[in-house]
Amino acid sequence: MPDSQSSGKTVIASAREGRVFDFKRFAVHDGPGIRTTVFLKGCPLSCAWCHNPEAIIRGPQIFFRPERCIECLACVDVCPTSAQTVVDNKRVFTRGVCDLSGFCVDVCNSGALELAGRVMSVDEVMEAVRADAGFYDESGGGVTLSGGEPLLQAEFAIALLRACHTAGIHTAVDTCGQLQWSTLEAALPFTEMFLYDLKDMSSENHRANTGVLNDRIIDNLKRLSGTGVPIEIRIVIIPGVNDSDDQIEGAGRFIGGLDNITGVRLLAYHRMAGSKYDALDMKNTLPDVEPPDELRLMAIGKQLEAQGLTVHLPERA
Amino acid sequence: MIASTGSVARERTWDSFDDNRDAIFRRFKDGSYSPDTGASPDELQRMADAYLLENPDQSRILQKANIFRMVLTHGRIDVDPEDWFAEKIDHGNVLRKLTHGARGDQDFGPGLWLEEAAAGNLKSGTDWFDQAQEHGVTTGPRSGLDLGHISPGWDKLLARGLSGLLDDIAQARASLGDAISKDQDAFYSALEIVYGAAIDFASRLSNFASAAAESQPEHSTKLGAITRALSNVPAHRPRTLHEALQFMWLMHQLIEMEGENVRSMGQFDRTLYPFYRADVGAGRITDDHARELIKFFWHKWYCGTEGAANGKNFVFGGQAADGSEITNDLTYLALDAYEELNTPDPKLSVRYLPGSPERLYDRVADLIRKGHNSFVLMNDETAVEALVKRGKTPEDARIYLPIGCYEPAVEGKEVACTMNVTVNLAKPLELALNDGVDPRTGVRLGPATGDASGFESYDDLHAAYITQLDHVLNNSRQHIAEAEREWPRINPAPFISGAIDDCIATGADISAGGARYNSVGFVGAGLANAADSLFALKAAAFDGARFTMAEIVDATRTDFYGREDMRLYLRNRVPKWGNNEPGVDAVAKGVADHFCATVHSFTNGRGGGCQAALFTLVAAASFGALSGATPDGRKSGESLAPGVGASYGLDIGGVTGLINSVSTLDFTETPNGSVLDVSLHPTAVAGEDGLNAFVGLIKTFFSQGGYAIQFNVLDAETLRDAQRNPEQYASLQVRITGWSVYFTTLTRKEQDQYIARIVHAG
Repeated sequence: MPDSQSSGKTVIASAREGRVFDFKRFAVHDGPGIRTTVFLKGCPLSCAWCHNPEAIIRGPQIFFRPERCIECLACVDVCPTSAQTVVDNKRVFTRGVCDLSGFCVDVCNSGALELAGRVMSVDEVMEAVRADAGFYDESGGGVTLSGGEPLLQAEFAIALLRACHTAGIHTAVDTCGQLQWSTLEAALPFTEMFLYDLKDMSSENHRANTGVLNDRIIDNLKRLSGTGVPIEIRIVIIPGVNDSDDQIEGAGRFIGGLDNITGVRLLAYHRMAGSKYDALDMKNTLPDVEPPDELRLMAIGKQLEAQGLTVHLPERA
Repeated sequence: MIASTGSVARERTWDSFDDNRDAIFRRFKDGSYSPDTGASPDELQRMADAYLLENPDQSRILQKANIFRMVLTHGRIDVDPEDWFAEKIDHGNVLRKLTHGARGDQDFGPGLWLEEAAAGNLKSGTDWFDQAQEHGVTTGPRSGLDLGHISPGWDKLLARGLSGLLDDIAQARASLGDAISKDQDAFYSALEIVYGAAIDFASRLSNFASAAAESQPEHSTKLGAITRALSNVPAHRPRTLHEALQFMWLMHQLIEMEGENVRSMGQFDRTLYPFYRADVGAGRITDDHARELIKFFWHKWYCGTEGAANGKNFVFGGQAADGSEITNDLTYLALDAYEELNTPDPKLSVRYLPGSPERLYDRVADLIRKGHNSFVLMNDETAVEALVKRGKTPEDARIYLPIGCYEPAVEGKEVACTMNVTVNLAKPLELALNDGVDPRTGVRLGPATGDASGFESYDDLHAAYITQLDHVLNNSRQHIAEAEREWPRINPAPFISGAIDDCIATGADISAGGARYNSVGFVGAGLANAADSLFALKAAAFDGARFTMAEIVDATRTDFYGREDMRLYLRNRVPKWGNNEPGVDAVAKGVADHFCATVHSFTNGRGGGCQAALFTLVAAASFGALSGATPDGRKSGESLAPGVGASYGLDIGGVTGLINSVSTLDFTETPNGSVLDVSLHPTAVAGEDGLNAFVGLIKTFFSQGGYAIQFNVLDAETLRDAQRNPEQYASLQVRITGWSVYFTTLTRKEQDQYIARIVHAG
């Protein structure tokens, strides 16, 4: 699944420019203070429960939400490949022949067509994040890179971190850890905090649900914890997948053995991302389980606290 | 019954507020009075009518004062035996019917003297205002005359009581000697009549309570306290916190009976602190008792307004005249009481300056995120500078109050009249696009500025807009000034005038410009729609040539019928105010600057200045209903943007972009106030991180020069509205850690799941 479309000119990641799919301003749980979270495209994992499916592949994608379409057919006029056509009086979007020119998105005033992942330069991103410098200053906040896996666009991500660092803006990186150690090491001088996702301590389970073994993730986390940089561990609690008492106990034991951990933030799995899969024509892989209830999350929190860890429950608690 | 959320255990040595609140509310609304206690409202009305017939040549201020005394002397009274405070009199609105009639939600017919002026000397101005209101050009009180937005000088009243004012009057008479004018003499006589009447009225209530205590010994604690309090206040300085609160409540009710003028009850924690401190020091009161007392006190305001418009404002924090920061133990105690009270009224405001305690930020932010969202937060640095720029001394400016909602005015020294006229800033654009004629009615409302299709440049368009706007402002100024000159014949107000500097010193009523500061408020509404529409035309018809002026003008006249593509382009493809976009932000600032500078060039009919504001209140909806489609993509009849912020659903740059845009305005040039409304997700401000971020948001708004900000915590009801009206909520982001998505892109089922989460968070 990952990178199936990411070929040729559509993949851009250099020290000067990269592919960004969103900004979230006034982000308050992605590191200290008020932050701007910059979402970079591309991820080495393909988690079944992924709630940002547009983050998986590195190339651009087009969201299509037909309920917003007013049938003005401007997209049909500009499409260079007949991906946008009218068949039997119905407008049809055929992704198979789409060359991702983005021309249709440019003329879609209703917002039915939207581009996920536009190319931005380091300077453009910096201008966007610098706009909120006053908020970072008053709250002790800064910039968080997220994704996808932001360090997959390594040169671009590190150039952004360096630019923030130079500008005196606090930096955090939300990583899945499935990277070469040298990439994390290169980001380290410009990263003031890591938010490190831990999905499952069982490597086999990990592979079944994310596509990769967890060996490298675990190994990188151990090495990172020895560098002195503060690390917040993040665990998405998915009932029936990674939330058994044994699994939590194992995670707690492992985390307890690490240094420089600021705490464990529990995130609750939710099933609200289906519309994104639909709008991308991607197969919805979200596990058909109920989100964890508050009592269960509190119990998990208590269990981890009993193991000596600082725990942050999801923002609804 | 709303359960108390307080966690502090209360002593039960006396019956608690929660045991009494419902019964007090019921009896307040019930309004039945025993005939034994005096004349009915109908009888009072006949007495008033007879008085006017018998004294046709008396000055109006004396007519009013005498009828004021007649009502207080003869009206039916009552004292609630389960309350700590007394004030009840069945006055039948006799005085207001005589003067200016219905206000707010109350409807008891037109005021005799106001209608007489409106049909006579003020006819042309009133006709213009009526037509402007019918077309959504302006809105405001009858004839453009705001008779209030005042706070009496609570310091002075509480320090010396009404007998102190009577001493001042005697002294002023003595110093004038034979040089006293007829008007001054009438003014002083009127004050002597109303203050004497108020002192006697307090004795009536005190005697009633004393008698009631004998027949209802089970209520003797409260009735005894009322008996003692009203034998001392309002004639003299209160001896306890209870007496001070009784004094303020009684004064408020009598001022409102005279004519609705009071909108702010002052700096609560500054004014009342000495009484609280003395009670605690003497062992007369515990904090639990003080908190209960404040709840009983504020409940009276809730009984009066029930969360509807015209709720009265109490302000906390900020500074005293000498610049010292006020926050003290009473601040936090009162905020605790407010949380336990859990009602939307009264309205609380909080002032901040560098040096305000972190605890005050945290406590208020915590209350807001728990759903107590009627708080308005204000920045003293901006407010004080704005007032000093308009000629107030720094000492006076520092004791400003949010006099209604967020309009800063000086306590006890300013007759602020903040709502003389609210101007629809978007309507002049509609007129500029239609040569001065309202396209919906065909009525000419402004000067002919030419066929908009023929405008060759954006400058032509902008000039036509300014011409139309100036026409509205100039007409309003002229007619308000004329109405103000009639004010002494419409609603002289002796009872409050004595509590406003420098009325006693100069011998002039507030209606005759006796206050130290006499202001007139011009409120600009719909800044976002004006700026977005101008900028959309600039971008689409001039800079971009995407559409012609003629095409866009035609489309707005037909509510974009058949041109949804154009409407969506104008709405979604052109940058909008509130997103930190320099181009459109500059247009908005230009409109605001012109509006404020023009208003500030005016003098008013009482010799004071006109003051500009930017906010909307209910005008966003009412103007919107009377405005056709606008070039920002807004459809005919839809609401204008609220406050000084972005149009609904168009602040897609999020709250920080909104604050950055709004901060480009110069709020030291809006001395009549402004407000930014911000919606918050409960999840975004949850936990310690969330509180810290919330406070950081407030501080950044202030440090960037903002003035007033208020918050709406999103709830399930709002999100269900978003399901029904997705375009109005296009900027609504879902707030879940690590997730990036807009609410309106979710499926119905997913939206329901999110709503369930939000409900959970509350």
